[in-house]
Amino acid sequence: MKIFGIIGLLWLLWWPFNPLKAQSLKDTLRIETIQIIGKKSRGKFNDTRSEVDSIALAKSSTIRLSELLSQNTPIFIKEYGKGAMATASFRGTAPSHTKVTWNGLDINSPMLGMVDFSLIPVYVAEQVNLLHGSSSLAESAGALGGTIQLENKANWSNKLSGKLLTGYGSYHTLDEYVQLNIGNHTIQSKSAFFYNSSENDFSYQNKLNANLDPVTGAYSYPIQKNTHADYKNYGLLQEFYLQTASNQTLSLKTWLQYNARSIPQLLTNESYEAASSNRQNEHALRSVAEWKRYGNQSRISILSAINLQNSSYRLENSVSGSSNQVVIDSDAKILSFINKIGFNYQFDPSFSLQTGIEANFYSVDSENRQPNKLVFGYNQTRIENSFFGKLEKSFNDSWSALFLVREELIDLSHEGLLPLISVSYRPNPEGALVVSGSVAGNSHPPTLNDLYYLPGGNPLLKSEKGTQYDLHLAEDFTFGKSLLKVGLSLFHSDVKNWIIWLPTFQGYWEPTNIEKVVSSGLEANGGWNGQCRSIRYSLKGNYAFCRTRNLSEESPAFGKQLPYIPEHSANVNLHLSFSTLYIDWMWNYYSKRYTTTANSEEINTDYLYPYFMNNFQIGMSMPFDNNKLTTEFKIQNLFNEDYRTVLQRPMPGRNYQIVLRYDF
Amino acid sequence: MIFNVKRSLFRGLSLILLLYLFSGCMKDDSWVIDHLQQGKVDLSGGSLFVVNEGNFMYGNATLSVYDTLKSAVQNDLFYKVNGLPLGDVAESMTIWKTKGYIVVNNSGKIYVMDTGNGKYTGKITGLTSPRFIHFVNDQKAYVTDLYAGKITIVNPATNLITGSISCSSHSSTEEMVQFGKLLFVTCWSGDKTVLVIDTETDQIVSEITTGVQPCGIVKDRYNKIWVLCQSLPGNGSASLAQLQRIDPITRTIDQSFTFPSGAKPVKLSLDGKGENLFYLLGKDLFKMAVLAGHLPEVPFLSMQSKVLYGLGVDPANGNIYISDALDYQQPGMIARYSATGRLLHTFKAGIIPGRFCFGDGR
Repeated sequence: MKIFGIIGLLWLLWWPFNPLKAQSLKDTLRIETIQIIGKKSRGKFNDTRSEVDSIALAKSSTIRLSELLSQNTPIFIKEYGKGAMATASFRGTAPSHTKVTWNGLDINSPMLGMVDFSLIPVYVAEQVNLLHGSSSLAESAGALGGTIQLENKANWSNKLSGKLLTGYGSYHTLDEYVQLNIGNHTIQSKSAFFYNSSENDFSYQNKLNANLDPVTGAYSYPIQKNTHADYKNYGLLQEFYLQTASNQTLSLKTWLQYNARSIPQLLTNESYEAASSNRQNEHALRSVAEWKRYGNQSRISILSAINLQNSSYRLENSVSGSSNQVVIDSDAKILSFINKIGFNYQFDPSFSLQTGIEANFYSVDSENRQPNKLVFGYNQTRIENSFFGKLEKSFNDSWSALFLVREELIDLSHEGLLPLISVSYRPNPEGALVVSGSVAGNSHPPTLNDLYYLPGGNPLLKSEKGTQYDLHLAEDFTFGKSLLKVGLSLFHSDVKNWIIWLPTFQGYWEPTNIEKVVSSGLEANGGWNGQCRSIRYSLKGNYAFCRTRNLSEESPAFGKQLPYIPEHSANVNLHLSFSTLYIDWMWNYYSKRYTTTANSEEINTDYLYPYFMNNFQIGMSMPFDNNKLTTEFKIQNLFNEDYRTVLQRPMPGRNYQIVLRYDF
Repeated sequence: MIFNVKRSLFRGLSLILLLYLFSGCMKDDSWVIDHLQQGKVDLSGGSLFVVNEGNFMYGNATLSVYDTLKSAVQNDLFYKVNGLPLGDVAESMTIWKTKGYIVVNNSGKIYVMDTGNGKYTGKITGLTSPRFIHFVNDQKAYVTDLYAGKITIVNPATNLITGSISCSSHSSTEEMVQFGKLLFVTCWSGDKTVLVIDTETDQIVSEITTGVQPCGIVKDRYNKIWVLCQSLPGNGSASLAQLQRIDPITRTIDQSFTFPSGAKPVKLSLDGKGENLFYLLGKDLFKMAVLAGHLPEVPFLSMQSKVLYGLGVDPANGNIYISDALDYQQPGMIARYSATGRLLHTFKAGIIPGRFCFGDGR
């Protein structure tokens, strides 16, 4: 593979001078890429939804969803290292407050509540939508931060198409992807296989351990390799779409994935060499069947989906002169069975009704075998039901409103009646400026681990109750051949009974409700697209300011920012393309993060300094006939910085990747 | 032409400026260096070392030092003096001669420090999950371990591992106390055994069955050994917590006191004269004379603290130090009481202050 990567790099450098290239241009009828600059018609409402644009998705084919989100959205990603666990904080909330759906299937673990974004390749979605704050209530309850939707759709005009991708990068990182799409106007099939692995054994100087010179007493900091950090993910995606009648579609989407990774030791660890094997494995099967029927004024949809995860975690210590000691040996079988029926009715162009019912079943069978032969664990199920009704009304060209109410039941007991009211105002019906505001009530139940994990689970936990307020403005400006789009959202979220796990003097952690956490701030985004002579450009950015404070009067952390949530985060993406050549520059920033509730800087482990990351890529996309061959060369951590995003976890220096992609 | 050159120059400069703005400026080195303390540290005045565990997998364990004469505290001593973090979960500290041995559980090592100036003088590495160190003499010390299934023997003169005592049927070994040539070791996690080791032969000579999860162990002035057994969490049929007394001669339990259901006593301590036992239970401190025939019904001190976590009794004057871990995610508070229970002083230490180690040989 290394040779393949080198050949690819040489090809990239050689291509502009290739005489055959000129020949091929003469034989091929091609038209110049054109860019249409104009204002997109907005819907009746301009709630706080956004999407990752197609350029960003296309250039992110070899990265994880965690990287895509941190580089293109205001969501803060807490990453424990390359290939290691990555969790999201959406508007300053906890990882379990960000809901992730894949074609309507909630893929948050009912055991842990959260999603590990490092395990989701960008391949699995053709569209990534974000529902910020209260907007998420229109889709489901419980997402106190927001919802990330991963969507795939049929292309009914496709006959035969596909994609081949291979990538090779530093630390023996491999990316392989094959996709074949075949079908007609009645039936479509998309099949894909992906494989991603890395030794992830980058070198670094460990400044947290020092060896003493026995004579001078001088320190020497060891140069170490990031051992026991390898990872491997592979899987299959299969989508079938069937047009059963002119107004009916049936789809079946399946995503099968296997993940395996080692978890490295902390930087300060100096235990017995090769002391531990710390491995996490997971099999996941996700499948969604959906039927939709479209009437003149109505639409009905029925969705049934399953998410089955088998995960295991094993920590084994090698003991010198003795057999290995198994410290942690845990398995979990996790099942989510989701069923939804939705009905939309459009009374007239200005008035619509949407209702839906959900009946979901969750099951967790968790077992932790202790070194002392004791077995802790639980086997619990939960049934969640939801009913909702939504009315949307446009009163005139300027004013429109939305009202939604959602009833949530857990194990057939009333959990909460959750309302959402949103009003939208367009001062000039012909203009793009939209101002909208909303208020919503939301509820997030404890996870099954929160309730039943042994030791520590707390069956007396209450659900987290949120009240969310949003104000959103959006405007477009056109300057000649360029278009500037800007958006600004102000938010305030008041969460009572926030759940937090804390250690206890008994040696294990317990979840508890804390009285109140308030998250407030703003999100701003901007995008500037245009063309200057033959150079097309796109400059996009996001900025978020978020204060998430513990306002529980009894808490010793009263008034303090929650740990690991930055107040400021931002990203900027610059895309330039000229003829077949393009470059991208991605910049990402997080402000200082406190690691404790004291918000102190007295000692260095109390905080992490601001994070700035620069990534760069250059690529060339060569179309011929209906095919396209693309070569990309990527540089991560452009300025080769020593940094860390979590205490005690090393991060790689400058690293490279070359990617070849063939679209047909 | 000149106009084009100027424009190109302007664009080039703009690009350079943009590059500069976005260029790398993460301050990992200064983050490491900024917290070094300039100048010498004076540890001459009746030092009390406070071992702050820090959060598991955060690597934010620290060492505080409290001047008992001036009632002044210095936090993060080890880092400030040495520019090195202690590591992940500092469990205990023991002083042998002029050296302090800080056992860093989840970093698999023991840092050795000069107790006079706080300087790092060596380390014992290659351990699995060390908990406590006990010194037999200048050439031999024992290190217990949470997961290794053995007790490691080290030579304090060289800081090298010289051997081990297999306890394979007991994965977790914890606190130690010596009687003559015999060492009594609690087997804590999920176990119910006290091991008796001959320090001359490094052999296990007896195993004493105790209550569930024996943790703390001390020796009173009458050479009786006391063991605090915690109850077992998450097990409906778990036995109750117990305070038990072992006769080291017969190696049997000769007294046993059972706590009420739900009670989870922790941090067994003894005063300097070896006459009174102390332990924490909920938000209370209990004191019990070693000659008493029953558990105390009334707490010696009741506190409004959030989470009582650590307990130490100064062997020199009987002052009692109790730590409050607050929310476990910020520096904990230490309250200092006189031997009669009068509050003398409070001060802030590091995250989860778990153990106290009294300096100058106390």
